[in-house]
Amino acid sequence: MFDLLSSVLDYLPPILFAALGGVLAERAGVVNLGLEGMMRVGAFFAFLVAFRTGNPWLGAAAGAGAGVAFALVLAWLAIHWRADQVVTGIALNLIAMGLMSYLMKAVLDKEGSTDALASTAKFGPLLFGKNLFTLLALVAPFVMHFLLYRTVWGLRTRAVGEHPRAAESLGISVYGLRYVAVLGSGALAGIGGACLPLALEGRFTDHMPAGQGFIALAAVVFGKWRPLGALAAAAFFVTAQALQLTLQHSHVEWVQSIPKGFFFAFPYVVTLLALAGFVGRATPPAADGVPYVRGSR
Amino acid sequence: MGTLRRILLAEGFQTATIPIVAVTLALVVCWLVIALTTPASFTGGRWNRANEAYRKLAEGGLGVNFDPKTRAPVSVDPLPKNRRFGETANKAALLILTGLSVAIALRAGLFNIGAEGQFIVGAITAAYFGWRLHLPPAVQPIAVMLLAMTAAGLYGALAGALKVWRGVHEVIGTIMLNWIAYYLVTQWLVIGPLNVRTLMGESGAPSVNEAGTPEVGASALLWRLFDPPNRVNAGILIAAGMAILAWVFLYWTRLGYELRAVGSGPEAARSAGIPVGRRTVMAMFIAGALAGLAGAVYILGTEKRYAGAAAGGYGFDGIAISLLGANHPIGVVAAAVFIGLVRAGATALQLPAVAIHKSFTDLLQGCIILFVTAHYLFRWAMVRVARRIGPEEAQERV
Repeated sequence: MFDLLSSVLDYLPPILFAALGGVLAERAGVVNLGLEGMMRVGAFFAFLVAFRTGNPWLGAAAGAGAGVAFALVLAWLAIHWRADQVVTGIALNLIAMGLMSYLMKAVLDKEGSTDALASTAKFGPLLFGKNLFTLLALVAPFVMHFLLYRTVWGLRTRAVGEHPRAAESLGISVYGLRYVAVLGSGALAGIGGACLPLALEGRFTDHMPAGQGFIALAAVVFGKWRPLGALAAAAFFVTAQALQLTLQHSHVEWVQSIPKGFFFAFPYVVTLLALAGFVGRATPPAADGVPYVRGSR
Repeated sequence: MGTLRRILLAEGFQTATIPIVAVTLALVVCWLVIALTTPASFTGGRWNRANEAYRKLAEGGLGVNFDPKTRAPVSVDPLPKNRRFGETANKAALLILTGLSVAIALRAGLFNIGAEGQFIVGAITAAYFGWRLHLPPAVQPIAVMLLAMTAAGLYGALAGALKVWRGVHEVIGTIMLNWIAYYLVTQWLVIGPLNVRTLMGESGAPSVNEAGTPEVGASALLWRLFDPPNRVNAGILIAAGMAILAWVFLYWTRLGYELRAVGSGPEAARSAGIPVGRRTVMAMFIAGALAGLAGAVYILGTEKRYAGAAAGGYGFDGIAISLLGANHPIGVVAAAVFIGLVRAGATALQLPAVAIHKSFTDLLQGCIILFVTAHYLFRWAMVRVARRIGPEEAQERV
């Protein structure tokens, strides 16, 4: 049982940070379907910088920066040019998929997987045997909750996602707040990706982040577009995954006979059920995914 | 000059040129990526490497070699002459079908991200029934394809039903269904109940190393159009036929009209007496069936069995193809041939002369989608150019 909790805490940060990023962007009315891709660029550049400099802090910063750079493309096209947010996100995922494998070969001359980071270039255990990312992940949802529900900025951001025209008529910059939210979303997803090489795997691999960005997307929805909901949803999904690893080594026969595909598919089934209203109702922000034209009526 | 201005401002011209602009820009961006990431030590220089890469891409896709100096097609080794266009045609067949899947759904106002999952469902269904059924050669492929279309169609319709009756947005719904199909097939069916060893009744638990279904019977295979080693099969004919059918359906039938009406405005469609919910589910069924047919053609045409690793990517490619083809059946065919060519050519990129990772095509495709999506940007640019030519008449079209 303790082992299970421990591995949940280890594997929570990537999905949670990305999910918080998703919450932030969607609260401002921009669907970030590019979470998976932003995690991937974050993971790659975090690895690359930590590998070259030996400094994990620079690596984490590079991961966040790469996420922001990627999010900037989404922000500019989706906010300024009214590009379809879903399609842009898909395009960014594809670009991240291709470009990172391409760069791994071109820059590091590796295919499939890179070399491992030196232990000093990773974030080691800090407190109770847990690394910095885990500790941050336990604090971040509460910080985000405070920012979204207890600050002026948060109120405005939510207003922009619910009713942009009303917000603008009060003198709030819809575009500005959406830019901040999308770029913040990219930074969070980038850090989520950076956890993978810097704290968990110690290397960058071709499959990274292997659908965790989409689980994060599911956690946004299952968590009803709230930071604390995202924490609960992410913890729930990560537990399901950790349970699968634990159960594989279980000695109980009927448990072992459950195919592991069921465990992998579990988060997605739960999300579908949640959305379908079988596990509580989920309503997205009213202007989620709707491009806004300045001064329109 | 007035004519040029009118052309630039014409809606049809803008719609038709945007895919071309998008592809050209994507090719330029990717060319720069190759050149700029070439190590200084590379013999021949970075610009040459980028040029060489594109030449290899074209050669691989077309199955011909070009003389570096005269640029004329020369001897065709190492590819035998009759393999020309072969791989491109086979890939294009699958891409036309998944592209149509996305396009038909989009015409009904639905974003089918689920073509990938529907492709997987179709492929695994075809792999199982191709092995299980024993029918005459003329009947079996058709029966297997119909079964695959039904299964995948229902999988697509599920997303439609969830949208209509439970309010689940189809984008999230189909993404979830993609992963569910992916994990249930790769981590359960092909290593469990549908594994070759399970089905053949061999003892011992099937292992991941032996993942995959048994080979389908010879009578289930699609007809090959040419002698080996050319692998072009009837899939391309099926796909072309489906494109024509889709065009006829969308623009010449009542159901197709209703479907498009739902896509252009559900409220107006509803007040015109069109059952919007049922048409939505129907559109998703058709979309699923087309992607499932692609999966069946993939198995019965070239693969013969569902191997352990996921047969991936064709469904996601459908999104790019549909958008690039302006969601029109004819455009989809053109876009599918182009992307098929790039995909088939990508294998040649890995040759030591250029040594580029095959993921390059994902990058190219992502850039193409990105530029197609940014169409307002190009429309704005065209309006700007038109204004410069004659400011007095040019009107804002964006």
